[in-house]
Amino acid sequence: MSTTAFLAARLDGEIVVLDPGRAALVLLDEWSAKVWEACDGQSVAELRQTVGGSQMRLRRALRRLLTEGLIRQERAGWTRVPARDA
Amino acid sequence: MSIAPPALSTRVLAIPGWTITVSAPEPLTDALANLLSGLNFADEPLPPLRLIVSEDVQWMAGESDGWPPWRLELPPGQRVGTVLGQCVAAATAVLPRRLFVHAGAVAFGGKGVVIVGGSGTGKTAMVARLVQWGGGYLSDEVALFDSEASTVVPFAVPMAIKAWTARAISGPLAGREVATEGEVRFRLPDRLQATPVPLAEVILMRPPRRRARLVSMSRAHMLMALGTHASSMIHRDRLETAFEGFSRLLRRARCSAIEGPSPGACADLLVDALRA
Repeated sequence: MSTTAFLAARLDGEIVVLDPGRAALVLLDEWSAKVWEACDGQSVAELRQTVGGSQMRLRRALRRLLTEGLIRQERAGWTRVPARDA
Repeated sequence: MSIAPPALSTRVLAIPGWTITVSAPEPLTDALANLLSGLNFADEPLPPLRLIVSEDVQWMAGESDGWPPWRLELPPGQRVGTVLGQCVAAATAVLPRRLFVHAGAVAFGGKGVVIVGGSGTGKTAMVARLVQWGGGYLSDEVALFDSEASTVVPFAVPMAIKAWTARAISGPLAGREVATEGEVRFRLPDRLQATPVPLAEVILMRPPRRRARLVSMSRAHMLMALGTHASSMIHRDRLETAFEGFSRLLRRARCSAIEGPSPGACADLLVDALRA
């Protein structure tokens, strides 16, 4: 995970996140963007209640967000890595 | 890097806001002077650029404050284009307030239309057709932006019209030919847009398809597409500024993708859409 602050451009419900450390862009569709924004320490069960969708779909989204370094697991919940608005 | 000029003619090209000292064989210096004659950086001056081209025109080197010294081979048949490209790259790398993307741009009905696409996708033909339809030429190859003002800024480097491009744009493009190299004709259209225009449309050229169509594209997908093209985002020291700037620009623009059997068919479709 990069130590440089992420930047997030919110564009019509979708989000493009820039990871300056990797010089990489990550596109989050509307639903993934909702998942990411809901990651404030909620568990998977709580996230499902917040954003809906199947558990498999939610776990896949969380796995991707984790791979991209956009969330981290803290105790039983998922927390969004801070990002500055672009 | 110190560049010691050999026995070559040295000339200073005084472009408004930019001084380029060129040591090169005379024909190439003349061509470069013509090719860069439409540029104007008076409102955002650039550091001086020093260029040297070997007598046998096999290689070139350059240096400028804020841009690492470079030296590269000049491929046969693309020497003029390569020297021009290096000048453009040097300018776009050090322009302090402007953003750039590898794209063509035309002012159509007072609005900035930017055509993004990889090399060989037909950007130049699209730009030429839009100019033939009454648009004002802003740039080809490199579109410049003022992200604070959300405008497309003129960057009047001549269009490099290859043989297939000429075939694609049925009919002549009014303008003057400023240089040639093999089959490539560097042409500056008569219809130049002299002032910045608000960015209104960003069009991504997709690979050819049998049927021409223009489809809406999300701004987020367009931002991702810009990230895969040569743009200000390739400079690591300007990455965050460029990302923020492009995000801001796209919020003001409509984004679409276009595909069709030929650049001409795509341009005609786009003109219909712009006039609608």
